[in-house]
Amino acid sequence: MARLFIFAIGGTGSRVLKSLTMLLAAGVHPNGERDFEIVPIIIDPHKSNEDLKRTERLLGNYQTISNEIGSENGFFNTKITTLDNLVKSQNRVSGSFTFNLQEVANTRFKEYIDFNQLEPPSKALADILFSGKSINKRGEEVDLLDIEMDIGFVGNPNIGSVVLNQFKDSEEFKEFASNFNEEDRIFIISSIFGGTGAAGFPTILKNIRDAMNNTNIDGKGFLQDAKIGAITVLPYFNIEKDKDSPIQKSDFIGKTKAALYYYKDNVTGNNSINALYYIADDYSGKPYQNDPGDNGQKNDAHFIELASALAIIDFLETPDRELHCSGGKANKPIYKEFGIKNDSAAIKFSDLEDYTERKISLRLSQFALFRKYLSEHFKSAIEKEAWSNDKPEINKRFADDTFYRTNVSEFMTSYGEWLKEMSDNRRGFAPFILNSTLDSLIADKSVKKGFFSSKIDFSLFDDKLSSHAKGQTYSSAPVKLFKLFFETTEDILISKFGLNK
Amino acid sequence: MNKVFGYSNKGGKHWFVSDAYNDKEIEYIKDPEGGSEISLPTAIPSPFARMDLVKTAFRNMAKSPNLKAYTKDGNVVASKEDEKLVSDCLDLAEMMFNIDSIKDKVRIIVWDKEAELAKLKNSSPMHRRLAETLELYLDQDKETYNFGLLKQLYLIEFNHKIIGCTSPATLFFATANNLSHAQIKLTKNDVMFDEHYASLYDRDAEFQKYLYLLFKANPLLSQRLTVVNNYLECNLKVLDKLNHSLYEEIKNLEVDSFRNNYSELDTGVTGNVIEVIGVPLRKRKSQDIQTAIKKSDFVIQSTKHMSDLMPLVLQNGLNKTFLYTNDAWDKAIKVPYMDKESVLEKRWLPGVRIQYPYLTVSDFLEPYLIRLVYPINKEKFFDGNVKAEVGDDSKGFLLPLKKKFFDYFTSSDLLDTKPGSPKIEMIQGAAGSVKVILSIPIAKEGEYISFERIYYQTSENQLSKPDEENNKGVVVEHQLGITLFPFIKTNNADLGAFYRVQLIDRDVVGILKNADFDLKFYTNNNDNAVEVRAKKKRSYKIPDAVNTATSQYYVLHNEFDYIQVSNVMAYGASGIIIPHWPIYQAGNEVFSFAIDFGTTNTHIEYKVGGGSPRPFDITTEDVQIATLFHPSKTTEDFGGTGAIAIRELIDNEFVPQLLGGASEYKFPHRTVLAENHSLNIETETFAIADFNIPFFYEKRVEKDKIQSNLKWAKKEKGNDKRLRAYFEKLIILLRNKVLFNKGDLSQTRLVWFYPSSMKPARKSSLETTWVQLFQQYFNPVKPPIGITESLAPFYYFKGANRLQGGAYKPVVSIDIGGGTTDIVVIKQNKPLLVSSFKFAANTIFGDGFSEYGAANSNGLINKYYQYYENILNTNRLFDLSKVLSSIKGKNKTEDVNAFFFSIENNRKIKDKQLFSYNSLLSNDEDLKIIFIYFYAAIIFHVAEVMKKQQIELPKHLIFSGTGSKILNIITSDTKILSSLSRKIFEGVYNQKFDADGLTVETEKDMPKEVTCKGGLMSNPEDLAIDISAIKSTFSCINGVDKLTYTMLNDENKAAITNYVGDFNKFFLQLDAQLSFSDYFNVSPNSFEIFKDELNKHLRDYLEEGLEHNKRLDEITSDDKEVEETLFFYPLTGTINNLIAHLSQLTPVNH
Repeated sequence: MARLFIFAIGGTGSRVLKSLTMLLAAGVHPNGERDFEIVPIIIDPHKSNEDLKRTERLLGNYQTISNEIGSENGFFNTKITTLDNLVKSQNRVSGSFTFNLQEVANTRFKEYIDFNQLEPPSKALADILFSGKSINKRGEEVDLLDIEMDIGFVGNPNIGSVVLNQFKDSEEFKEFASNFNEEDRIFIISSIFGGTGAAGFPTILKNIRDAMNNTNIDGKGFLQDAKIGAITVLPYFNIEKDKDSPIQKSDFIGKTKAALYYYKDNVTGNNSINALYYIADDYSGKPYQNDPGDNGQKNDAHFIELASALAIIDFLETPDRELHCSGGKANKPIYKEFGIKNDSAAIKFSDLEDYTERKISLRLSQFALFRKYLSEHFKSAIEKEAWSNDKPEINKRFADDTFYRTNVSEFMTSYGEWLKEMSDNRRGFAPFILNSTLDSLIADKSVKKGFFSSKIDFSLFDDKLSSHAKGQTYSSAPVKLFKLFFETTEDILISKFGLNK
Repeated sequence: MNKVFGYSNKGGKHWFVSDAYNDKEIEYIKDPEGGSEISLPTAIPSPFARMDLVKTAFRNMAKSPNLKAYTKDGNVVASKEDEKLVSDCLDLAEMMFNIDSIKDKVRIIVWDKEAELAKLKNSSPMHRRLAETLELYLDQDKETYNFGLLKQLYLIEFNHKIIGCTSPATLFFATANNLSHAQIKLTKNDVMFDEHYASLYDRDAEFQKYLYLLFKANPLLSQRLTVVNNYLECNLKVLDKLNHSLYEEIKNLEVDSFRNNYSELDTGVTGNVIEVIGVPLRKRKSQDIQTAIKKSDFVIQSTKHMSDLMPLVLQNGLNKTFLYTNDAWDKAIKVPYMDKESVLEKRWLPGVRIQYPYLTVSDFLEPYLIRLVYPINKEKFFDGNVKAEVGDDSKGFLLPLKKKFFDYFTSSDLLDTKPGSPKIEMIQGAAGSVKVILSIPIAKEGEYISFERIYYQTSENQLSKPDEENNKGVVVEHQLGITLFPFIKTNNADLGAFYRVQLIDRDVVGILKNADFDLKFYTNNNDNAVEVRAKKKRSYKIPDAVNTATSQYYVLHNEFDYIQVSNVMAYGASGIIIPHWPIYQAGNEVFSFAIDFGTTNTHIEYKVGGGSPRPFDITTEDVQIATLFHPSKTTEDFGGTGAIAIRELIDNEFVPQLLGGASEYKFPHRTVLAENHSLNIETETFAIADFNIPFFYEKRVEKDKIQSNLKWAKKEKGNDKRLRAYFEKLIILLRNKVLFNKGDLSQTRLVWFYPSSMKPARKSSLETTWVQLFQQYFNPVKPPIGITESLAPFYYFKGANRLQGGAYKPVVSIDIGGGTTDIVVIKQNKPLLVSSFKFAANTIFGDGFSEYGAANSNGLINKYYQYYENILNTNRLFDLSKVLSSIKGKNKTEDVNAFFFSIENNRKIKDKQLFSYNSLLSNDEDLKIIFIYFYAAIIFHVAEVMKKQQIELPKHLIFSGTGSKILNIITSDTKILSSLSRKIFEGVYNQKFDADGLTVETEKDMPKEVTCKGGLMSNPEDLAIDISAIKSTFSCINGVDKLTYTMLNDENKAAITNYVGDFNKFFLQLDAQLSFSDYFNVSPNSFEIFKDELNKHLRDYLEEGLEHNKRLDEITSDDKEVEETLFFYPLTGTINNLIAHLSQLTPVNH
């Protein structure tokens, strides 16, 4: 199967990747020429980043679930795998989606490049290239050369570009390169206004395009002309004003513009990329806590991340012929922007363009319905309802098993939180009324009420489950759970809520 | 409503195809804070982010109509940050253009791409990673930044810190580090790297032209550095409106000029040029900036100094809009009060980085201001325009100017009041402070730069230190006096120059008691000091001894315009004195001088043209000296300091202010010379430096050694020098007289006198001295004329029409001097006979034949000394009393007597009669017989000589010379003298006078002056007669005409004493014809003693006289002719003896 290597850089990378994971879990599927296996590579020096941790955990659960149930059962129908899983090798230790940056913990940039031992001309050059001030994690102003790198390259993508360049020498990059095939694709997620993402994107892009010059790797030819897509996330949220923080809102715009100019010349301008997705939102919503990252950087999920994740879907749906490269240059680069129907502060499905709505509303609603059932009714239904007792049984034992108790529950909880965060955010994405009764789950869809129509509740749900389960064979209890629920929720939402497939 | 999450402004659905974000889209992004953010962290994901930032900044700035930060419709088109980045880049470019101005602070470090990357890759993994990143971006982004054309980067290190680097995208880019250490000004008042961002059009026009030419001459730059090129085009549009002439200039720039107008810009290694994408940059030719500065308003308007680099004159806090270098002056520029770099050409102009000479306060103003203890003599010296806002004007100041001032201006410029001349002003302020304002004319028409310094009074116990860096001076008070002689300039080198400058240092107390001064003399047309021919110290001060002072004399043979006074002790206060020199204007007046250099007194007469002679004088109209202190405004005690030595030493050692007329000093004056007791006569000596004529002699106590008897003094060590010094001083006084009165030096006549008894060798030596000195000081057309002393009086009396009935019959001129009496017999204006003998005033008033002083045993002194001592003390004339005892101390009878005679003419004496020695003596009946005897001897001798020469009886006897005062003592009635004389002649001739009779003519009050006057009342050449042919010496021995010392055997000596004895008999018989008692009040008592003693010891006296005169005349061979009659030798002894006896008869009765 062809693979999509996703380089998720920095906090934004993690969050967009999370949104993608949610979409894929819900069964949103790219309708491209072929199916892709997703290989996410998270690049973030920011090890304690909560967003990163959450995303990693989520991916782990996704991987476990999809390994258990396969990709034929509606939900989780796209394979996500770690880089080291591609080739079964005994030497593999990682098992992680995250690229481990070397020599950045407690290291100052000056030490990273061994500034003091440079010969005078190069020392002078480094002195001016990396001149200026920054603010360290203790809120003190320091010379840029003295900045510690383990909190990310906060606001200093020029330093990031040097540090992240070690990626090209890493095992991960070698593995990636040697596993890269002609039909494989690459997608790079980064924000333009941070540190890591802004720096990582061009670095990775250039290293891929420059692969011919990299003596450490195989598969150079495919890499140089690889079909590369990327999303560059422009500022879309507010942060609290904090004069001691290296992150300032007003910086965002200035930095964005500067970086865009750089991209204009050195990314888009020289046709380095096949498809570039721009996304931004100038909505002045609720500020994020100003936290450069050392203590968490746990930001609420945002619609923009969902939209960004959709860009990946879009990229995968783009035919090969539109992504042709020669000599490391895209022949016909594509630039895309995202639009919705209504400029709403709390977006509902109907506010989205029809295509978008079609693409996600049913699946996300199915998954939401599934989640609601599992969290509110599952325990009382098992070993009672027919669908539960049919072979393979979905009984209490199943519910107590690690798979359900940990992987499934956690994932579903995350999905709930993800939805909640998006709906609470401003601009918000609130298609669901999560705490409502079943029939008012979807904010802008009222259940078709008719003389003959029955009330939508868990009993109806159970009836539907049982009726769908009837006569079906499932290879395992997990497969049964996901497949049965996928089919049943689809049925309910189409028949009762009037959603379209 | 449809919403697109992006900036393309395109409508679309879901993920729709849009455009790559270009300028339009990026500009559309609104900055919530309006682009004011300056401390923007580098946002570009490339190690070359800073290059990119600058490139972007140029691009943004070019969209702003005035090339400043610009917001349009709420969109920030060009931010403040962009403005800074472009400004910094242009600052670097301008610095490199002016690199010669900062070459001491700048180092260029070359980063060779290939070599340095290779080195890094072969180094540690850390370095390799850096290299690979750089390489990645250099390759991947090469089109954007022209990295393909990059071979070397040139890093600019300023003050040991990297401040910038060349950029293949924008020529240069600056560091993001703090650049405040590089906030300098180059050639304009724009501070590099400050917060006032300068657009290109704000900058030096030369720099702008250079940038345009750089791009014009190198099209590659326009093609590749497009953002800079666009910026240049926008700048040009601004210039079109703002500075159209520059716009035109730039438009018309020729490509060829790029090579010609600028120099190669290298890294410090010749040939290693700094280039950007292969285009070599260039720099300003160093002379260009100098050419620009030459047009500065601040260029000094020197009246004398001409150099290629005329310095600027700069002043702190000036707030006029003068053109400074190539920009207007900024009053914020701090001009140091003192620049430690003494070589002007090595100085850096303040506020800008240009090496160019400039002048500041300390270059012209001294750290110390010397205050004097008296007001300056404003009429003769420039007082520096002192204004006493506080205090009075009782103390003047030296000009606190440094020598350097005179490199640019003459002393006359400072005195000149017309516009464009430098000016000085001194304002006395509180607590003894003085503010000095020196205004220096500059190129800006009618404008001045003011150098101001306040001098503060030094503390009393310790000398305060001046602080030149903070412009604080110190006032020091010195007790010094300076006197110039003569105070006139000729401006004519042919006339020679003979200056003596007296410096008195009376700093004997307080913190400055060890001061030691030196003078330097300068002319306005030579930087080097005028040669000091000699510098002599005459008096020496002793610290803490208040009655002492140092006197120094500078001998100069060149004219000078101003004087620098320096205390050569460690701290070295200096000041300038500028005399208001009167300029000699040569006229046609012919001056004639006659000098009668006498044994006792010397006299000088002069006449102008055909006028009548008058005694030499220095009047208020032609004062020859100039004292720095004001002669009338200075208080008696010099402002309470007691520094009276400053005044006294002028009279004592130098030249008096006035002479003659109402002055206490006048000619005739005692023939004396003063010198320091410790003078080593064997060193080179100078008149009016080592020696002076002490006109105060006999008036005040002298502390110096006084030399009298200059005329006859034996050939002892230093005598010639002293004599010459004496003559020289006289000649210098005469020269100055001519100069001050617009006379013609070369036409001046000089007559001098010598006694006919003077040996030819001695006379010739005197003559040589006169000739040489006259030549030296006058360069005369006619040489000086020596005349025998006795001839001249005849012409005086004749000229004064005193010879009744003319001179057909013989006239006898008798000149009785101190040492000699000269006789001339003239008939029909022609001298027939001359004779001379040492029987004169000193015979009575001197020590006789005594070799050494014998005043203690002298009869006259014994008789009158006590008298004078008493009346001087009674009349509280203690000063004169001291003078008396001082002269007496030398034990010379003639000096004491001379003093007695001088007292009545002393200014301090009111009752002349009381003090008149003359009248005392004429009333002294005991001594009267001596004077009659003295007179009779002379007349008898004259008659004998005339008779022997068969000359008929004379008609007139005329008397001159100091000694002829004796005539007054004998009787005030000349008729009685005529009778006496007639009787003597008739006795000798044994023949009666005819009806014409015999008259006695004399000038009672000025017998001495007659000689000189006579010398000037005739044609001097007529008087220059060789008298040896008519000289007659009476041998007193029958049959002997010429007597030699060999011939002086006992027999001949006896003949001589017999002859004297015959005279004594003749004399006593006169009493019978003309009663001494009746006509002359001779006391009987004295006459008896006289007769008793008269013929005693005649032979002894003859021997004594012979011995004495042989020694005096240095007779070494007995073959020599005896040149004077021996008749008077025994008489001299007799008179001395008689005085001793007769003076004891009656005490002075008052």
